[in-house]
Amino acid sequence: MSERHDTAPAAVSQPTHKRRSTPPSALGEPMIWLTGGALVVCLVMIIGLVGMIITQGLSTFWPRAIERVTLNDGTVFLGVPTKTADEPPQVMYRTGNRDIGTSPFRWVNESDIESVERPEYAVMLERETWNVWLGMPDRALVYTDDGELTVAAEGPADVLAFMEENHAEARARYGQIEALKKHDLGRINRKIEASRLNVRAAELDVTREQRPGGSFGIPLFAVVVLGAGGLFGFSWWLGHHGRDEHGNLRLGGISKPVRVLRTASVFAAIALLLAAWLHAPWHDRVMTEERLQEVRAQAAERETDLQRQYDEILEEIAVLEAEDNRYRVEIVDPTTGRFSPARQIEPDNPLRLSQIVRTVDTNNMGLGDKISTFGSRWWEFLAHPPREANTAGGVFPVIVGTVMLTLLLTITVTPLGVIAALYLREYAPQGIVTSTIRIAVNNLAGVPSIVYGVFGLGFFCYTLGQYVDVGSDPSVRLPAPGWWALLGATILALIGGYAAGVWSKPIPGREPSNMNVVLKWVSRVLWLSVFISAVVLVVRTPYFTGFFEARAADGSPTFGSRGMLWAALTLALLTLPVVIVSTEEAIAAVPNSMREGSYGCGASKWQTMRRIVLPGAMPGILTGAILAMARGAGEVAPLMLVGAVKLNEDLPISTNAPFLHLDRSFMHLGFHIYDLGFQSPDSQAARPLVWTTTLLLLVIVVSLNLVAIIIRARLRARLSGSTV
Amino acid sequence: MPYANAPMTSNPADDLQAPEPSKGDGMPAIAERSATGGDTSNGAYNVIEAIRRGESVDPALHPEMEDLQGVIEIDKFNLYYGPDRALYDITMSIPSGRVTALIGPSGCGKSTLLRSINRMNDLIAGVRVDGNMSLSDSPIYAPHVDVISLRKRLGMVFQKPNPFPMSIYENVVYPLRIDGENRKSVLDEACERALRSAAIWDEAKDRLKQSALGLSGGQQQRLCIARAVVADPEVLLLDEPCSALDPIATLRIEELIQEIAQRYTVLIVTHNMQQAMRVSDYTAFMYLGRLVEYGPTSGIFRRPLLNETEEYVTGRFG
Repeated sequence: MSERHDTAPAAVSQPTHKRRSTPPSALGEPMIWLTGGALVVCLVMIIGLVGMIITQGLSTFWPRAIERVTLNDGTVFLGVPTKTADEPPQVMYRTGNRDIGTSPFRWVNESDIESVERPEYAVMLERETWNVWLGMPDRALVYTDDGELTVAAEGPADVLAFMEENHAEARARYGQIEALKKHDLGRINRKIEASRLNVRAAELDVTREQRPGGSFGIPLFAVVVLGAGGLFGFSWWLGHHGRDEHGNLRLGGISKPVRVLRTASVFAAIALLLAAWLHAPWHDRVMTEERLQEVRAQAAERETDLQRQYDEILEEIAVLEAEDNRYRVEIVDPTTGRFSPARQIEPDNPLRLSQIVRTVDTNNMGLGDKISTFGSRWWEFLAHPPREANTAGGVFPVIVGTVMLTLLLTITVTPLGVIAALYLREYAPQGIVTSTIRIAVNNLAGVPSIVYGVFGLGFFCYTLGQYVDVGSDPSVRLPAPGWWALLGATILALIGGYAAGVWSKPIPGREPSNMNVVLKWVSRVLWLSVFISAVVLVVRTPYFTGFFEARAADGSPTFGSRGMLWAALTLALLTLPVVIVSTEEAIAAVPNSMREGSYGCGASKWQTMRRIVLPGAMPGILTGAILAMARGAGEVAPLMLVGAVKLNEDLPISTNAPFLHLDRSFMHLGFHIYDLGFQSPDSQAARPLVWTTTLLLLVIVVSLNLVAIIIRARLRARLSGSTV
Repeated sequence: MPYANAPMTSNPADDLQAPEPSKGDGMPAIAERSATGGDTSNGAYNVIEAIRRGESVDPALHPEMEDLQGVIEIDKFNLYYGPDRALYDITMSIPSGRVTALIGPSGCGKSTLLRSINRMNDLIAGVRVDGNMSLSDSPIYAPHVDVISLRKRLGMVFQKPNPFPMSIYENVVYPLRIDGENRKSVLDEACERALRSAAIWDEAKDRLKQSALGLSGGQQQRLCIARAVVADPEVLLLDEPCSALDPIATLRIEELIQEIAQRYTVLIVTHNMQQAMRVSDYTAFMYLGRLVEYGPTSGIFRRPLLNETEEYVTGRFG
């Protein structure tokens, strides 16, 4: 080899062809402009969208001036200018006062306006009902103890002072009334409902036939349980058999018959335990007519007691309401000269002070007051439920619904997707079947999301939910002996499938024999039949009559209709491809040298996966979870079918047992945006809230992602060794 | 050509005594012969040529190897990657408590043979074997063999250092952890013992909780050796443990191998003839899936039975 060295240098220096100058296409100068330009276009669109959402969303709650407009024809009205149009020049004023028949928004031609002024004491009231009222404070009134209405303050400044002085107390009292109605009365109502359901369940039990197959009785029960225990012990002993004195598996391993025997005895033991549970002696308590009468009597007694408590609370409320009724204010609309009424049907009765959520006298406000109003509106938006068909108030239940749904979908889809991807990548033999599955999974990502909604409604809500509620359909229930025969056959097929699988493995390092191939197919067929008969066993079981039978019999399904759980599962299905694909990629990216190192240490495949592959793939798995989260949080269409509703103040999480109410329908930001924008009775009032809600959804998705991204960054750092 | 790119570190002849006069021509003649491109006219390359033609060749076994009791016995072992045959009727025994080196040009099957012993080749689809192998008289390729417990009895170190992305401590005790050992005192003790036997304790003792990926390449490889010996294997399999390391790190690993050899049987695959000479007691020369010559290291390097072996160990071919 050294002899070649001295022949080289002379030959290289002579070029064989004329060198050309580098053409511009090789430098790729235009490509820099093209690629950079594409990025700029993308950025402009994204920044434009996000910027619009942020500016519009943030400006919504800023208090704006209240103007007193005099038109050429002499009409006078108060309004807050909200937007303008050019052809012809027009201004839209928010005029409120819907309860006395005024249109709450009014377009005015600029040419029709004679004069505009900003009266110092003009106020905009944000009310519990009928939305805003614009007017001039005129009088504050108080009912004296003998029912006489007396004037407590007169003139705008004094009235405003009176309002400021008494408003907080009035609101506190009103809050107390609402809490009593909602929580205390609600609690008693729940108890009454529970007692009624108890009776209903007892009534159902009376009409039901005896438990299929009867009960075992103590001796037979004991024999069955001991038998199961014996089988478990036997399988443990068999497993112990292949080990040396230190408990290590002998090199010879466990022979095939022993392995099959072990598995068979475990399955048989499980079947015995199932039989023991289903026929346990304590299932023998049958509801009789006498016992039903007893239950009814107890329920009646309890309900009387509850009714008494209910009345006590009502009295308490009545006292508070009497006090609440005393404080009144007259805020006069300059157009009609009418003050804001207590209710639409009581036009002569002035508004109760407690009905005012917030008084905004913008023209009289300094910057500090404006900021505090801005803050208070944001606080209400974030921490309170909506009012007025969602056009006012807050979105607290919507936030809770969205966050819970997103978390629930993530904790459902991530383990499922990861486990499926693990099997697909690590265990399954790579071939045409796995490729097909991969393609199918990828294509699932392209199915329109409404299709998932339809599937979710049909399968989860109406089929699975129905099963959870009322159990198997009585018309297809198998008789007990038939069911047990099928279970026995299934377990035999299971053992047979397992045995065929064990014997289908060729001797290590050898080609599979014909027998091996035949047994492999036998095993597959048996496993498939086990799967089918397992489904039949579940669907047609005579033993399951549902968890919420009484409520369903009452006509109010629990899980059998739209709800949080099914929505989360539907979205989990929708986002499954994302998780599977990214997990598979992450698993494939774990270097083989790591796997080999682990196998070399004597780790099993599962240990290698759990200790090496999964931790190594974790950043990639988290990426999948982040993508799934983002996609799920922004999804609306399927939610409209499986559980999102316009209004449900009952949160899916609460302090009442069972704390997590996954059967409840919920509010969702995405759906809320749609509802505000397109389904609102007062769309002009709701429109600004579309922006704030969008901004909020954006912030929530970004912060959920941010948390996941931070976790991922820390994991990555650890994997690359830069930190511990 | 499969042997065209084998590494040439230095001229092995510098380290060796002049070849045996019995081999005839001496250095100048050998140089002359290779300059002609391995001409076969004088019959010098007949074994290699026979192997290249696919003929079956009996390995040249040094007399010292005849009665040796091996901890690993390999008997007529063949291995196929699908239709391609990678190992041909390998029969050899690995002596207990000694260092045995497998040498040979790239693609000669030495790594494949090593990985057959702990059945690492099971992980590759389409691998078939026949023939027998046994570890301390228990067969490795019998039908019910528990591969996991087999691998626990054999420690393995790979070509590229492959510490797991966890702390140094967790890396070392990994084989114990997967055995379900979680008592801190046991793990601590085993960790220190293994790190000491891998001569990395002094460097690692203050940073046991830090990531193993922060170590240098040589340290990582010694950590891998610590991981391989922590569970007291019967045989240590080293698959070119120094090929990714610089000379200083290589030297340390070699010293370490000699030290470890006092307690374990070591089987090492290496490309580097000096390394084989320095660390091993026995050397097997393989070529194109066949065992060519097997004997004590001194014998292989100084008095090889075959001309071809001498050509190879002196760097004339390969």
